[in-house]
Amino acid sequence: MHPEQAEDQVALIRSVMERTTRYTGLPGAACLVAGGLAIAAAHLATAFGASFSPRAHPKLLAAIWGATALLAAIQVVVLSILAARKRGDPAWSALTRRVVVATLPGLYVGAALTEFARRSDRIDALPALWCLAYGASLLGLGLYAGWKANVAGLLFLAAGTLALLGVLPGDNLLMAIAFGGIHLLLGFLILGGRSRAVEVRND
Amino acid sequence: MRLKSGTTESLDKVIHERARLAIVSALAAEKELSFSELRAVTGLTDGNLSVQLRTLEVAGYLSIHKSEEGGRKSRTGARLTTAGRRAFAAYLAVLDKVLGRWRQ
Repeated sequence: MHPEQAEDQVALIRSVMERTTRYTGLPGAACLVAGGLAIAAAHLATAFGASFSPRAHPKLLAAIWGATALLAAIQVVVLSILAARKRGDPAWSALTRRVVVATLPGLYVGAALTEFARRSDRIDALPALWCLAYGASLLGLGLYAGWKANVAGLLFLAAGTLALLGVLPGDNLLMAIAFGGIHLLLGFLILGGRSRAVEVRND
Repeated sequence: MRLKSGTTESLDKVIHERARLAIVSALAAEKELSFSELRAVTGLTDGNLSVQLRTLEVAGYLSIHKSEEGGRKSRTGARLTTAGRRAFAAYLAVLDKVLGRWRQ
């Protein structure tokens, strides 16, 4: 075998292996719906005077954002399953399991911090903490899904950090910007990306 | 199915063919893949993929099985056998040898 041919073979092996372990099961439409839901929820909470303050309808706030998170999660799962079925792929593959496991630590930290903030009367810090926890979770997804999820994760981390430092408002506006805007951006990035198969020519 | 190439290296012809090398590489990265997943990562047509899978199966390098999903749709899955993993490792060793000698 000639060295040039060996290099070609190695490049093919690398390319196929990278593609095999890349997660493409998150539909862009699900991100767009999640972003739309977050913007609607932020608008609704503001309209009803439910802000991230212990004195401003905290139960209503919890109901609005709790329902939004639940709806967003359900539609992501449903649309992902439908997309997998359309491709003829298993909805719960080994790669999907790894992706879910990679995102769980960030989500767990978010849940734990939510309970801590509630008990210590610091719900004003929740939008920033949620951004940080969710950003970490997206970076876990980015290990398999690539740069688009990483960009979204880093933007969430930046938004959360700036809100904690007081540079960004840490209220429903932050929720709309981060959970609305960044999800919309991620959705458009996913929809705009073309799926490229490895070029395999038969010898 | 082993043969001598133009050089002194012993090449496994079954794996050396690029379509089959792509399939084996994918299955080396992921324990089991469905037919549609293999089609997506390799870019092969249904017909070509079926032929190459059959060749690899006959060589004893992978096992193919069908499973029922949701009671209606059957799903074809493929995974490397121990012989397939060994053959892939041996093929990588040959590539490493060729490239190592070239770079010296």
